[in-house]
Amino acid sequence: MNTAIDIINDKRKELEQAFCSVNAGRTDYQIENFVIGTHDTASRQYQQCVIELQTKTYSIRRQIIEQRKMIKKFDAETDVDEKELLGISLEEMQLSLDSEVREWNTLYNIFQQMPKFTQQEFQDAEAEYWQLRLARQAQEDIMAHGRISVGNLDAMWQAKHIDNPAVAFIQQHEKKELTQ
Amino acid sequence: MFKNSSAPRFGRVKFAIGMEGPAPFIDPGTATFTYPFNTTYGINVAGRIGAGSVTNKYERSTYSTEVNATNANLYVGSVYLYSQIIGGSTNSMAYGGDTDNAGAGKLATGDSYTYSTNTRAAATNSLANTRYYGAGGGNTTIGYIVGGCIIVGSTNVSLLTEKITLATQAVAVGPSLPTGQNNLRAGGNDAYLYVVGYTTANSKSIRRIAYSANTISTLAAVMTTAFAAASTCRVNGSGTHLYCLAGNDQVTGNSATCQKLSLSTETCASTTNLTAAKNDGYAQGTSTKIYAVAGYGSSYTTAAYGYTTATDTSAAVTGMNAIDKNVFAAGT
Repeated sequence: MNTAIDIINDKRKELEQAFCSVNAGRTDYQIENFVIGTHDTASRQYQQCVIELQTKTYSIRRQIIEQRKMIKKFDAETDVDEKELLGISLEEMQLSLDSEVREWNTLYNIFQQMPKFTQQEFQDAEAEYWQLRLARQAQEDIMAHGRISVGNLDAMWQAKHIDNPAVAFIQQHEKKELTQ
Repeated sequence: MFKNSSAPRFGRVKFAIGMEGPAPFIDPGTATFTYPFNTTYGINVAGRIGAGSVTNKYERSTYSTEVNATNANLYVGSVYLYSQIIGGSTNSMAYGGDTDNAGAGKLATGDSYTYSTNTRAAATNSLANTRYYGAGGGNTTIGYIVGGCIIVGSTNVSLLTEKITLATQAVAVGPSLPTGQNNLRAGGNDAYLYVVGYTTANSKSIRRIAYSANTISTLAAVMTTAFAAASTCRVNGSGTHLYCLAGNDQVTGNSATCQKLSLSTETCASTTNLTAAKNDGYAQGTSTKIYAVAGYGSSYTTAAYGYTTATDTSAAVTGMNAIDKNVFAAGT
């Protein structure tokens, strides 16, 4: 009768394919809608995409070097158990790398479809971005909690999207008092 | 306004256009969880800037705009790197820490930060034990400082916990962990504080402290991956899950692996990876997003990743990046 480890080893090839097809990276849908799509304007979406690509690019480059180093260590290892452990780490590293490369490809495809922004164009689009974002966040506050949170009110005031909320409140209150 | 306006845009732009008009009224229902953190600002305290240099600065991030900034001329009184922090909605308490890198300057003193006035003051009471490398967490009224190193040298692990009542800043002895732990993280809901991290090696065990009974137990369930120095461990805004994001698995080193513990069933499940692998960062967050900031990636990093708990999705949030490369800072 097979032990558990024999069964696991026996099914390894079959499972490795599944490991490759389903990994813990972000799906294309998540990247498109919840990473890039989280922003209200095309300029900020472009910025997010470029930052994600930058993070992935450096991470992949580093991992390839780490993998190369581990392969050298694996080749030089004479102890059977240590060599097997290094082999498992290499397999895990490859899965992680595959996941990162897949995300990189998704991000790059999105990048190619996007309008590109220079630094000046990006800066010029900021006022509209914050107008849209803070209005949306205020609307989400009202929908979820019935009132705008202090943080969003404060930010809208700082960005001069609204008058000082405290002054507005007092003026409204005074007006009400006078009409009574 | 936008160059090439016929080009495809993604998600939010379409959504924002469709959001015109009055918002529908939605009954908030009956809340069973009181979010224990401030939802306007996050703070981070002290830490190590690069190799060997210790800072005692405060930084403050604003969640509505996702921007972090040095908190001008605000320096923590006596809490330094590897300190432990308890987040509150009106004030946060940071305790202990170390004034050098090896535990020789370990402390028991505390610092209280008040969000509404953006000021700090020394805590009324010190901990019973000097300690660093532990974890802090709690609910809206009670916080625990858990484990850490109380003897010089990072290999020493403590099983002692201390209980702090936020309203009075009173410090009392808490229940002991079953084994000593450092490099651990803690987060919880109204009733329990969950503790994960290093024992004598990386551990999958989850300890649970009951606030009302002041007792500790080990859950039958374990984490999916053993972690030390998780980048972030924090409960989500609805109080349904404890998220444990990235950390050092001591197999492949820094890992981007994330997992979440359901607090209703106390079971752990894998979830989408963090944008990049790292450990020893600090946690901040709102009711909808958890931020894993700074720490150690391939080297000291300032990078912040926002983890949206509604979709379990990670994205880089550069505005929230730490000002200094303050690995081992305490954040909330």
